[in-house]
Amino acid sequence: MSLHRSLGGFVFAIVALAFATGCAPSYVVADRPFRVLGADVVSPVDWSVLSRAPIWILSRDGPSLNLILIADGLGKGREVLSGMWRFERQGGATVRSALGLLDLPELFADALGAEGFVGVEVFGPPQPSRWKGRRAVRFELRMADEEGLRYRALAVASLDDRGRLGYLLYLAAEEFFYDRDLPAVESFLAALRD
Amino acid sequence: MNGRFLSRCLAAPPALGLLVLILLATPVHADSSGALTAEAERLEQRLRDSPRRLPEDHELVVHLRELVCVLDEKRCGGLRLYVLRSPQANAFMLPNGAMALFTGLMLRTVEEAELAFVIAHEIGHYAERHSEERWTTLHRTGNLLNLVAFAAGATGEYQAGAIAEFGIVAALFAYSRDQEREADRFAVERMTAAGYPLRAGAELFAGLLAEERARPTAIPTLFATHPPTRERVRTLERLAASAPEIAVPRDGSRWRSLRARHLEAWLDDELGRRSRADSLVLLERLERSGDPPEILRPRRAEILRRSGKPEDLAEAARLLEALVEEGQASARAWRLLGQVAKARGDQAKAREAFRRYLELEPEAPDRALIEWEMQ
Repeated sequence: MSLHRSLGGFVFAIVALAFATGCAPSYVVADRPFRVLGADVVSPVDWSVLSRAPIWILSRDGPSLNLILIADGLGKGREVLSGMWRFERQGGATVRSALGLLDLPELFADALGAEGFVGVEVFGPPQPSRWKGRRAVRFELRMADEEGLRYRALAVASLDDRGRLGYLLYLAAEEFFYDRDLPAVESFLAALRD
Repeated sequence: MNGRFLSRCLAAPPALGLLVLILLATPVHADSSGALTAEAERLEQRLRDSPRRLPEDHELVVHLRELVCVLDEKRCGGLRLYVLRSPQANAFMLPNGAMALFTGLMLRTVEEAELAFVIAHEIGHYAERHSEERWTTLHRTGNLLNLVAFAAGATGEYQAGAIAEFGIVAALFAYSRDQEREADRFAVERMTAAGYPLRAGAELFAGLLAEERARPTAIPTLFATHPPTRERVRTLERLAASAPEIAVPRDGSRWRSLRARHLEAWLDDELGRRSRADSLVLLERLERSGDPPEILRPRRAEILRRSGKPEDLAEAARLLEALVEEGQASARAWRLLGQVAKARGDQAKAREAFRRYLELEPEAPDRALIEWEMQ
């Protein structure tokens, strides 16, 4: 049996086991309220829910094309992102003490870099915003994956009075996907604003 | 891409490690030279297409190619050079003559002679065919990498994707001590012929060794292909001491000016490694080597600030205030001083520092946010 065939079998077994152990996704159904972080979001399009708290992960077309990550209350030492892109030995960027709003764009750039994205840069002016009734910062990022596929990301991030991180990060392939789903992402942000 | 997700679902991450071990032990046939050449070309194609490649600075790449030819005129026509943007301090050479240099290494080579030593050393491995001796392992593991990606994390770095593949390729060429000595001898010979001071190799390795020692982890990640050892540093120091005086040392000013263009970006990449202890050792060494304090000290202060510890915040403030007193505080330094003061609870000082930042950088993209912070 060739190496490729035996690995194919292995991958199939993993997928089957994943579903058998309860990893099958649930869904956000278009135009129906979906409860996340205590808010009812009404999205104009469907999303698959790949993971739930502490970091919610949603996608429409698969994680390599579009993702929404939502989290709140991530305390010191917790990883900013889910690590789903990474076969890591060392961890990704973590929430640290003495973070301020000014740090958050760079923190996410670091976190995405640690996930293996290349040339991550904050572009455009970061803007004051709101997240669950708190002061927040809204910013955009650009990057590529190791194969050169270009991505864009939008984040609204905030810190609570104990320095715990809350955010929504939308990440999608720059070509076609990012703009297509931006209105749907805004519906999440509007629901999570206050 | 979904490795973490799947392993989490399986709740048995060690299974992946076991799989890696089993597959590494799987015998692979057909290690013919044709297959090996094809594999080297595949990897070179990945280097060529990598988004990490640094093609935009044509002058830098041209200068590096010239450097290769200065060091080995006979072989330079057959060698190809790829510069990859990555904070790892590494370099490697494929058996087909493709050489990869990581910007993390170029950050650490302040003097052209240090860079020349690394390049000559790599050419030495190529000239002595050391890499071919490791190629069977690489070939087998290269197949594996396509499928299981980089679960083995051979470089010990957090990097993912193709950069990890390159890192693993580099790590696989973990040469024997004899081979390293041979490549060092080759480099010394070429450096002498080209008019570079021999102490450069020893100084570079001593710097890398100091970084290794500062790391809290025992995993050697810097220059993993050619780990610096005390023995190597001593050997190179001895060779340098006994070498004849160079009548006309080669002018390295061109390298300094080319490197200066990228210094800030490469330093920011270094901060992105989030490896406090060895980054501080590196930044202090670079300042001693003549890199501008007004560029280095705000980064040192930033590393300290990130810990959030009162003593580190105090030291960060001290570094930044010294720049202010010397009249060398950049807009970045003022912004950072504002952040440090805010973290220390000194709101008045924070507001004043942010005000100076906006004075120096009236079009700052984060102006709205800064003004919000000043309220």
